[in-house]
Amino acid sequence: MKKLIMKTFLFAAPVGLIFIFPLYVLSASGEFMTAGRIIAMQSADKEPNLILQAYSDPWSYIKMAGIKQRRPELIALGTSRTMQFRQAFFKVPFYNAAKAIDSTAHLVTVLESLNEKEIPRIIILGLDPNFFNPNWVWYSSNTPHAEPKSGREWLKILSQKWLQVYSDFINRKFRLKHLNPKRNDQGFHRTGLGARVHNRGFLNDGSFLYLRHIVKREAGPVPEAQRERNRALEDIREKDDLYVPASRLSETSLRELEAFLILAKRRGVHVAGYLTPMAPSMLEALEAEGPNYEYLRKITPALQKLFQKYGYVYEDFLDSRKLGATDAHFVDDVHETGEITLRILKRLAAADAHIGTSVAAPFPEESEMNRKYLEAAKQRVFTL
Amino acid sequence: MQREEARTLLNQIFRSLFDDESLSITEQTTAKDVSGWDSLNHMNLIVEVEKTFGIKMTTREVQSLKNAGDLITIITNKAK
Amino acid sequence: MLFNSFDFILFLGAATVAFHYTPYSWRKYHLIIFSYLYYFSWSAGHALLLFGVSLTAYFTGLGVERAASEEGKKKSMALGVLLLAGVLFVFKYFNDFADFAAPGEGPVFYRILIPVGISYYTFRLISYVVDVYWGKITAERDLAAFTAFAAFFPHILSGPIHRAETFLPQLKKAGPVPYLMLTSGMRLILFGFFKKLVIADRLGIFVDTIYASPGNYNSLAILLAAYGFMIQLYADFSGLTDIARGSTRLLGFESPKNFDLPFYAPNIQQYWRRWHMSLTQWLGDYVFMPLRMKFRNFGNTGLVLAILINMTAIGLWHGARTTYLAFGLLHGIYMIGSALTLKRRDQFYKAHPLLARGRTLWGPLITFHLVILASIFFRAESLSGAWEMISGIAALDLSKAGPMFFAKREILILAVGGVIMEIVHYLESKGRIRGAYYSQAPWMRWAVLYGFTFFILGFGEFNSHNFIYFEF
Repeated sequence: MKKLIMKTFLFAAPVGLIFIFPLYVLSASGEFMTAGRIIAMQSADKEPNLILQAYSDPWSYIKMAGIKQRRPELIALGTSRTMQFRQAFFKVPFYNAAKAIDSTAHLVTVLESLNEKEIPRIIILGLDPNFFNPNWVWYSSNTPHAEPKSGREWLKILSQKWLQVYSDFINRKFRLKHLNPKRNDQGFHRTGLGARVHNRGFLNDGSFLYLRHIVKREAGPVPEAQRERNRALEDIREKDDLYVPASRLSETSLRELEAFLILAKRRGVHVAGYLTPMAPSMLEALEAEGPNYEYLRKITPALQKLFQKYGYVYEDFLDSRKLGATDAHFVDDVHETGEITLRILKRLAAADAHIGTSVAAPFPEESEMNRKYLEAAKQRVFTL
Repeated sequence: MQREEARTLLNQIFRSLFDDESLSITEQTTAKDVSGWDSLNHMNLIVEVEKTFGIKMTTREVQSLKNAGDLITIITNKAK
Repeated sequence: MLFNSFDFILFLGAATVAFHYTPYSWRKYHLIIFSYLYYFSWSAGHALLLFGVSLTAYFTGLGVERAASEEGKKKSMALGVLLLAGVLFVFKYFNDFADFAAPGEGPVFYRILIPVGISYYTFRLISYVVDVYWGKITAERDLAAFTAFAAFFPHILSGPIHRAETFLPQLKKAGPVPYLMLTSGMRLILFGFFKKLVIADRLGIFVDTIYASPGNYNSLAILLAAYGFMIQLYADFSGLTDIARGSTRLLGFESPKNFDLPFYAPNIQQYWRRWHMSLTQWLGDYVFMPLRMKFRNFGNTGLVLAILINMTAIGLWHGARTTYLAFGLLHGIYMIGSALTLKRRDQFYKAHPLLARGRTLWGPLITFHLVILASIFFRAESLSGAWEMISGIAALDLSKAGPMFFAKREILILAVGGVIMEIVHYLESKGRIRGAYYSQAPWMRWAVLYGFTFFILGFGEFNSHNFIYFEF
């Protein structure tokens, strides 16, 4: 037996050694920070946090837990495209719960998981056009809002991603300097390699900040943004992923959305829905494809009818040109920066009294917002 | 009935049941040795044996059969 | 503690070391302690049930043996079997029947949590009682040994169904666990994890996506998912079995195999002798055989009836769902068809020797596809879901989304993993694995072990946790 134990340890030693570097990288960069701690940080810290982990994505759980803990009056709900609504835009307690859903499938679950005290009074619902594409296939590997088993999460991340950590380091996706906390605290307290390397992440109110993009934009067009749009244009050419052609609307998604509206109505929640915008060049490319994306034209008439049926407001912002946007206002093909969100909010406020009475007065200035961020990028402390 | 007599008669049964005129079973013959002697055909064998020798076997006895020799033992014990 | 968790590895290590230092006569107590500890990690309440059921079987066994008359023996046996089967029935099928009676409702208090492993341990104990009745074994007087047998933790989750006949003698054996048995046990566990984490869980992602909404995919994707599920199930369950058998070896026991190259079986009868062997042997000995005896004078009708009941039992053993029933019935039809025509087919091929050579090729191919068809029912959520899958394939429609959302990297890993898996299975089946392994130089052996280890660590799918056969 002693012989066996020794041999086993001997065998396991090199295996263990392999894990030391990834273990160090992941723990030093905040990749192991548990969802529970993130939630606590975001609620308690006065210090501005910028949180984005590169090797895990617990946000669906964090957002749901966030709603339950904070019990905001108004939330923004949607995918990552709805992440730009900030507390500063509203005078009521607000939380950005974007990424709590990734399709219409989990809408009802969100409401069902909230009890009377936790459920918000108003929901700004961002609907992505591809939700209604019947040929768009989305696989959600996790049960929605599944709570990561705390205590063991780090082991799971380590075992899943150790090889990727090596390959990412070799490919210079991150450097050793990113592991040093002190060197990463300029303006924001950055947690996670996503935040430290790409200078972007979640703020305390649940909204997302593309800080690097905003800073770089001052000097001219941002190449990474254009690269992302080129990739999307490639997808359009290949008819791939988000850009699978379709001529009719997905019956299932419409049904799921209606079920959500019915439940919201029953529980006294006001919903204001809108179709999320795309970068202008993307829309032009889609229009050039003409009949391939016939379903896009059918969305608004259908949703307009649906929302009106329940006395809710719906606005179509798919064509961001109508908001006066240019490609510079997008970090890629579909994710806008805060100015566009403000413009969307202004129009929603005008169309919907519930929203109108909830927005901050005076209504925030775009330039003021950006100035604050640009200053924050240089300062030590910043209050939003 | 004597063992050898039982074995001979049993062999006839085997030959006709498993369609093999060359079969010659011994005390040690098991299902592995005879092609076609599987659990599905086993009962056909038992039925034939019961008919030919005029005996009745119990589940317990059938369960305990390990080879042809066991079968012959049961036959010689029960047949008149 | 699921098998594929760090906790289980630690637990198993502790059990192995402790077992080594336990005096031989105390080994049964070691097994009781560790088995019940393991069971407590699932649910303390159900551990009581396990103990209660063990006691029932223990006393029934003694009762059968002590009964003076044949009548008395039969009564004791019947009582024991009824009680055991009754417990299984209530705990396992209550939820399914509640669903059936009041679909969609299910207030929380209706649902009982199915006790872990109940299908496996009740089957083990029923076989014990019947074996005592049939005189195959003598009733066990040592309550501690019996309790250890009933609760033996490596077999709790998902078998194999190890009968008292071969288990108890091993328990009574006094001697150290051979070093080679320990290392072969560890290798078996390693291989089990390989199959589960690299192949089964990875395939599961693809299969689950398509089975969830077959309407979104083209015929090729659905067909591949149908094949994929069977391979996933094979890798999953044989992986689990390997982990169980390997753990058993660490404790010095040898447990029965569950699989023997099932997909190369020449006909459906052979398939069932090579797939989930411990279950089919159990059903064969305790359901099929007694039924055949009862119906033996009804000729082919008796055979057909026995087969139908037996295969339906296999289906329903997995759960009281219409899909499992359909699965069982389908296999019943296959078996009946094959059993009734086997003689004629054999004669045909004897008369056409050239075709007989082809038979070695299409026999297994046809059998495999029959199995795939039935497996669609096994996997589908509902009969309509199964029908969606089947009609999706039959439609030969290539217009919708294809299987290519599954990355090339994943396919490569699956292909390589699959080939390695089957090579090892082939060597195991021919009994050549030990020879092949030990004929290598030590550095080569360690290289192989490291190869598997890093393959698992690098390409293992650590996301999902569900063993398909765990819910039984």
